[in-house]
Amino acid sequence: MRSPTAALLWEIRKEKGWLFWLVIALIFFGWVLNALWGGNFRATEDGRQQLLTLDSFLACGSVFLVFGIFHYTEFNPQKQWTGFPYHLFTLPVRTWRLVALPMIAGVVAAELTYLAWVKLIFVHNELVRPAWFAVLIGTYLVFFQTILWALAGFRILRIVILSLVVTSLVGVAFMPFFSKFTPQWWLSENVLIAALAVLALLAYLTAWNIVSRQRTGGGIRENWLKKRADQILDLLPRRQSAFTSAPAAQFWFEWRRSGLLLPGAVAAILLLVVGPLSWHLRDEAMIVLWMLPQTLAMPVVLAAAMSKGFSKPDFWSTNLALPSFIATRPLATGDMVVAKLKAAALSAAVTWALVLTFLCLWLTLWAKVDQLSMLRIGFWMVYGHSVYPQYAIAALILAACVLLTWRFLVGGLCVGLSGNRRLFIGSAAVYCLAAILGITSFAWLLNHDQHFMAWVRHDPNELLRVFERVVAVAIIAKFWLAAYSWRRISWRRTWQYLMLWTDATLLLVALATLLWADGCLTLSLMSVLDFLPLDPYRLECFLILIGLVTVPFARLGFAPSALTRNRHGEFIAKDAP
Amino acid sequence: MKYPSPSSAEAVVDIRDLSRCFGSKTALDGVSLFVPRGSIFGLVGENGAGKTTLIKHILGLLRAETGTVRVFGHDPVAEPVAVLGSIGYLSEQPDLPGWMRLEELLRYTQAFYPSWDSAYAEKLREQFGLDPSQRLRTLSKGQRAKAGLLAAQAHRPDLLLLDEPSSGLDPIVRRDILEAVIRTVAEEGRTVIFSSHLLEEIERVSDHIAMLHRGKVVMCGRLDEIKAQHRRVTLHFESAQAKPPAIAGALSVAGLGKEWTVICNGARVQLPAVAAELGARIVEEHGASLNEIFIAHAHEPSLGSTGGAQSIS
Repeated sequence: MRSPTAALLWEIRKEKGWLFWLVIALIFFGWVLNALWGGNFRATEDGRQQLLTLDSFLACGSVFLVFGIFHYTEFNPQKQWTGFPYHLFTLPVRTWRLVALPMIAGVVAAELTYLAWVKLIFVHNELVRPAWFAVLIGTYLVFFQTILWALAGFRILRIVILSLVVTSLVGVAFMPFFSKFTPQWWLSENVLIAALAVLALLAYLTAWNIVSRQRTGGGIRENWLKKRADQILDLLPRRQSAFTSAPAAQFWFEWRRSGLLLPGAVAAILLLVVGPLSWHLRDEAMIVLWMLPQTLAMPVVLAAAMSKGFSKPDFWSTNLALPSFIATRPLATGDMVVAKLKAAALSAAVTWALVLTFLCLWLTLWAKVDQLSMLRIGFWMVYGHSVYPQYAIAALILAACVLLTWRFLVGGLCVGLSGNRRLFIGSAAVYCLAAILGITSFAWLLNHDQHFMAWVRHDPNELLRVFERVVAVAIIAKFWLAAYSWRRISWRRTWQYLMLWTDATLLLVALATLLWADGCLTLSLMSVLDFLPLDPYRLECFLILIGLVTVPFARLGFAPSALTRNRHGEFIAKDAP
Repeated sequence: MKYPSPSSAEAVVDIRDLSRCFGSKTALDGVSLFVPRGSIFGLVGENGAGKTTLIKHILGLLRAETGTVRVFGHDPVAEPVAVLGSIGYLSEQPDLPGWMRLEELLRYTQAFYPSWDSAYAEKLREQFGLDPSQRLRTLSKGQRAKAGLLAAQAHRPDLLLLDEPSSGLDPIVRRDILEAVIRTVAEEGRTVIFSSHLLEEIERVSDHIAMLHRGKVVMCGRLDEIKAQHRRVTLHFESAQAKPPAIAGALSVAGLGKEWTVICNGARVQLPAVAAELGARIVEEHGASLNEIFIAHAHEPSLGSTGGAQSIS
């Protein structure tokens, strides 16, 4: 290997070799599929559309994989960023060449992949404007690499900018198609191709300039967002006194490291999205009924999204091992888990305090609450002409929301704290797969299986009974597992959590009972479900069972032993020193 | 004396037949070690010898696959609170949380150690020239090492455990601060275990050493005894030797032509007779440095290493 170009290309191929094979496998699969069954599919218009969709998905997947191969970055521990591979900076190769090589190689690989799909799989006339899409793919790859290298210092901002650019470029992709409707000279394919070529050249020059600066010690050293976040945190009152105990110090650590994130994210969304939107649409009659449920759901959804990060020993680290800084603290692993649980509880409470404050301001100052008042009147009529059940339901819903937020934050602790990467990724995959399969199967049953639909319509309580049995089995399994997982935890701690669990579960049961009162929820559901005859008693039982299964019990019992195993290095990499 | 007798002093660390594998690689192979109270114990060994793995076992960050580890008489895996409460630990690359300020780090660390000495912490902070309001991620590598040392030392631990502490420090800081801290700990009757590549540093500070080579302890004992046992002898031959002479009892033989240098371990008494038998005479003799002892042991053929230019009988 005498030339630097060959050495650099070899490095890319060596590092991501398996992805190259995956791309080839996808193309081969598409080719075999079309060669063997293409004729059958194309016999009907429906079949042709289905095959075209499948081929398009596979083609997009293989092009995305090429983008993954040429995601040419490396973590720089000195600068604490992932940017252009810094180990190349010491090579006797000019920067313009270092930058151009992965770009050109990436563009060539993407174009070859696209060409393979166009020539081998898609039949004539199936693809509209193939040249335009070829140019788009090449240009996108150049933009993608430029953003990755140029914004190395901005971790989250880089993702945001990448998303915005991708969204904008999807819009650009459709521009030539508008020329039919609005004949503008700049919407012609040739002009747009020329513009994209110029932009790609500018992107290359930008990347060259920034990588040159990084090579000579320049670039943005400080993470801008982190700096701003630090400035905001500096405004908060800082603790000046000593901690009363080691668990108190650990709780502070968890709160500062992970607990603040959810309230921070919710505050940002309320300030930057929900607040301005509610102000802008304040005169719309239905806006309160549209935005209120979404605002209430937002913290729970965010908590679910953050749960994987929160469950890890360190939110931001990709390493699941307990950092030695924490592992060497003279603190029992049980206390470490309790500190995490408390930080999650405070996080949920502060988050909901923020939401409640916003709702109070919004609903009293600028919201049009007519529709909400109508709803309240409806409730007033159903609940015996009294306003107190409304207040009770509102308070219980708020408490349940706090509880659900906490539940999502801590639900994965036994997996995240274990340090077992396979278990961590596997559990996420199982959840995703189960959700996709569940939704797909249910949608298919609803749309295609007439027998199933007839059965549901004939007696919806049968379906409810099936769900009830599933939940009942889950509850039995939960208590069996709980008895096993809590067996090594001290009786005092088990008792404390049992009390908490009982209180939380009673709260949910009370909410379920109150919602069901006088068949209110049953009536609402019946109106949604085309007045199917639901048994109110069975529905109440089902909701109570859901309440029993919601608050985590068994899984939290596993968390201390999982963390203990992590602390003593039982899942460290086989080749670790 | 291969291992100091456990009866000679109270054990701070007592490791017996400890083995650990990572996949197919054996990191520790039947290691036995006894660290007496009040000693400054140096761990030496080349990269990958198993020093950090051994230290992680002492801290309970790794569970012993075979053998036992006792620290102050406790199992560090079963009783981490009892063990870690008496240890101050500084790793080669202290993974201090970058978002914390130094004052926060000290306040946080203080909570875990009832014996925390705030006045001493402040004195060390001033000595190290650290700004309490500075975030840890903005500190240089050397400053981070100092901050780590400060947090490890301010609760006056019974055992100070330093894993390659010098790697981030410049020579002046190393001499003036690290060694001063280690001596202070020793003068107060506490124990220090520290690993280092810098053999001169170990030689200057330690009173006991253990040498690890490919996961095995190849030498362990009081430094002065080890140095007294090892001699560096220069032999002069009448005629040039084409290959290294075979000398019984020698750890290593290196040289060229008529002049050959022998490092021997306790076989000094027999050496003149052996040399005379080979037609050589002793022209120079003095105590071997720790560096020479380390290299001689690292290349000992019984340890499965190739000796390069050296040949050993």
